[in-house]
Amino acid sequence: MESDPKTIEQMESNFYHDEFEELIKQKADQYKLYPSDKVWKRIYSSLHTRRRWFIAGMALLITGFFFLAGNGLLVPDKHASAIKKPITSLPSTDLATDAEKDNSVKLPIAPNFSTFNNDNGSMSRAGNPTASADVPVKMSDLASIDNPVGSISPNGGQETGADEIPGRINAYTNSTDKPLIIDNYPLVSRATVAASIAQPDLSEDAQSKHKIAREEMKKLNWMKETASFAIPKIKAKSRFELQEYLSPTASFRTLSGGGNYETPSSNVQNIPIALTHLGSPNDYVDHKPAMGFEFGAALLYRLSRNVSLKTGLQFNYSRYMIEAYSSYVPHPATITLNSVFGYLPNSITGYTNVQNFGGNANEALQNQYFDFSSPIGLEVKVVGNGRLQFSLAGTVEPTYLLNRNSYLLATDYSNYVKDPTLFRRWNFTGAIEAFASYQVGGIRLQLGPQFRYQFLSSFVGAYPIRENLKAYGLKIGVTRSIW
Amino acid sequence: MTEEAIFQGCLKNDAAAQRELYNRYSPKMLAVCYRFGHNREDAEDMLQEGFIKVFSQLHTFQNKGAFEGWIRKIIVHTCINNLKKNKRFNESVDLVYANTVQTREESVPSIVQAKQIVECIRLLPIGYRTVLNLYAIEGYSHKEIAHMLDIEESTSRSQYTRAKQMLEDILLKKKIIQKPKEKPAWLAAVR
Repeated sequence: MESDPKTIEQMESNFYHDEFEELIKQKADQYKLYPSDKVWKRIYSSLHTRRRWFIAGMALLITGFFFLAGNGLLVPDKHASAIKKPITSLPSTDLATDAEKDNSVKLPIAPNFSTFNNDNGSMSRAGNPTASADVPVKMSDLASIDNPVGSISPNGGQETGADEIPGRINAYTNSTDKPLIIDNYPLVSRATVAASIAQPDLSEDAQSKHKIAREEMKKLNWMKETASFAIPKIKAKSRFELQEYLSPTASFRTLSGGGNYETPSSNVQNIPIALTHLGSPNDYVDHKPAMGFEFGAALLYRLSRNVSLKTGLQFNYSRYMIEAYSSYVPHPATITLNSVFGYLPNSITGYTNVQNFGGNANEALQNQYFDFSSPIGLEVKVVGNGRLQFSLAGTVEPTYLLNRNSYLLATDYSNYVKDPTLFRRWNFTGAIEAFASYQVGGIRLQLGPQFRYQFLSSFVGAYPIRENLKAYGLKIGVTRSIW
Repeated sequence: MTEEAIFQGCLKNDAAAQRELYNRYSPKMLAVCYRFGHNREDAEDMLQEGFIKVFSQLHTFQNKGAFEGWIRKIIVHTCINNLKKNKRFNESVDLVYANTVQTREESVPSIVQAKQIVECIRLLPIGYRTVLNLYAIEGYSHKEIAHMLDIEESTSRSQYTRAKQMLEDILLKKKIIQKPKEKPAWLAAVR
C-alpha cells in the first residue's frame, strides 16, 4: 500500500502542530510566579472582617468616650456662664470713647431718637432704627446694681412696666427734659447730653456741656461694667454625679471541679467515659487570655465627703483562647452531668471534630461572652485634695448573659463541644478598682487598674467542670456633677 | 499539612489553612493570571480577586476532580471577567485579523524556556492570546470559549489558528523552537 504524499504531508504537519501545542502547554504549566506579600494581606483582610469590626468598634467606643470627655471639658460651668451673660447683653462699648472717636453721625445718641413712654414706663424707638446701636437692653439688667432704675424712671418711681429698650444708649436717655439721677449723681438732661454730643464744638459753653456729658457717660459706663461683673449666686454642689467609663481588659478563666486523681470529674462515677483522664481539667487544657473590654455608666450619690454610693449599667465582652486540634472525622463527645440529688444520672452526647489531644490540624478556639451587668457598690476617697485624689471602689454585679460563643470540655477531657443549654444565664460578679482622679473644669478624669471576677460558674450546676471568668483591666472614666 | 486538612481548615475560615492553600497554589495561579493580564500588577489583582472567590466558594467544591483544577477554573473565569470589563479587549477579541506583531530579538528574555514561551505568548494581541490560553493551555473547547467570551465559535477557531501561527513565528524568530526541516525517519520508512 502506497501512501498519498499529500496525506503524509498533512500527517507530518499535524504531528508538528500537536507537538507544538503540547510544548506550549507544558512550558506554560511549568511557569510559576511568586506574588508579592501585599496580595495575601489584601486577601486576608477581605476574608477576616471580624477583626476589622472589632477594631472599628473599639475605635468608635474610644472616640465616643473622648468625645464625651471633651464635651465635658469644653462646656463652661455655670459660674463662668453667669459671668459672661451680662457682658453679652451689655456690650462694653465705651460711649465716651466712641464719642471722642467720632462725634458725628455714628454716635448712638440722637436728640429725637427715642422717646420715653410715660404710661408704661418703657422706652420706645421713634426714628431711624438702623441708626442706633444694636443690642436690646433690659432695664432689669441695670436694676441689679444699687437700684439705679428707680432713679432713671421719669416719675421717680420703680420701673415696673415692659422694660425692653431697643438700643443700649436709650437706656440712659428719656424723652422728657427732667434731669437723670443715678446714685445721687445729678445728671444733665437728656437734651443737654444729646445736644452737647451732637454739636461738640459750637461754642465754649457747648464744649463745657459736652465735657460734662462725657463725664456722665463715664459714670454710666462704670455702672455697666460693675453690672457685668456682678458675682452670681454660688449653687450648692449636687450630691449626684454621672460616671462614664471604658475599660480594655485581658480576660481569662479559672477552671476547677472535674474531680481529682482518685475520682472522676462527674459525681456520676459509674460511667466509664469519665475515667479516661483523671484530675483537674487545668492539667489538660491549653488556654490563654485574650483582649476584651467593658464600658458603662454609673450614677454616684455622695453619702459623705469621702464615700459615694454607685450603681449603673455596664456591657462586658470577655474572651479567651483555647489551643485545640481539628479532625476530619467528627467524634462523639459525651458530657456526663451531675446527678440530681444523687439519682437521675444524665449525660449529653454530641458530635464534634474539635479535639483536645492531637488531631489533624491545630485550631485556636475563641470563646466569647457578651453580657450586661449592673454594678452596685461604694467608692471611697482615700487621699487627695480637691483636684487630685486617690480612691478605691468595689462593686458587686448581677450579670445577664446576652450571648456566648464557647466550647465545653467533654467529661473525658478529650473533645470540645458546644451546648448552649449548659450555660448559666444569670450570674454574679464582683469588681475592685483603684484609681487616681484629677479635676479638670467641671469634670473629673480617672484612670486606674481594676479586677473583675465572676463568682458563679459560667455553666449550670449539672456540668461537672466549673469555670469562673476573670478580667484585668485599665479603667478610664469621666465623672461630672448632675442636677 | 495534607490537602484535606487544608481544605477542612479553610472551610472553618482558619487563617493558617488559608495561608497554606494560598502558598501552595498562588505561584501557579499567578502565572495563569500573568498570561491573561496586561502586566504583573493586573495579574496580582486578578489573583487576589480569584483567591477571595476560592475561599468564599470553597463549600461548593465537591470532590469530583482535582482541587487544583477547581481553583484554576475560578482563577481563569476571574481573569476572563476582568478582561471583559476592558473595552479594548472586547473589540480585539472579535477581530478576525489582527495586526502583525513587531518583535525584536532582544525583547524576549532568554532565561529559561518556560519563561520565554510565556513571554512570547504575552506578545500576542490580547484577543489571540486569550483564545490561545483558553484552548491550548487551559483546555477549553471552542464552544466553551465562544460562550465565555461572547463570540462565535468560528471566531474562536480562526482566532486560535492565527494566534498559534503568530506564536510559532515569534518562537521561530526568537530561535526558541526550530521547525523540523527533515522528515522523521519513520515517515521516510513508510514511503
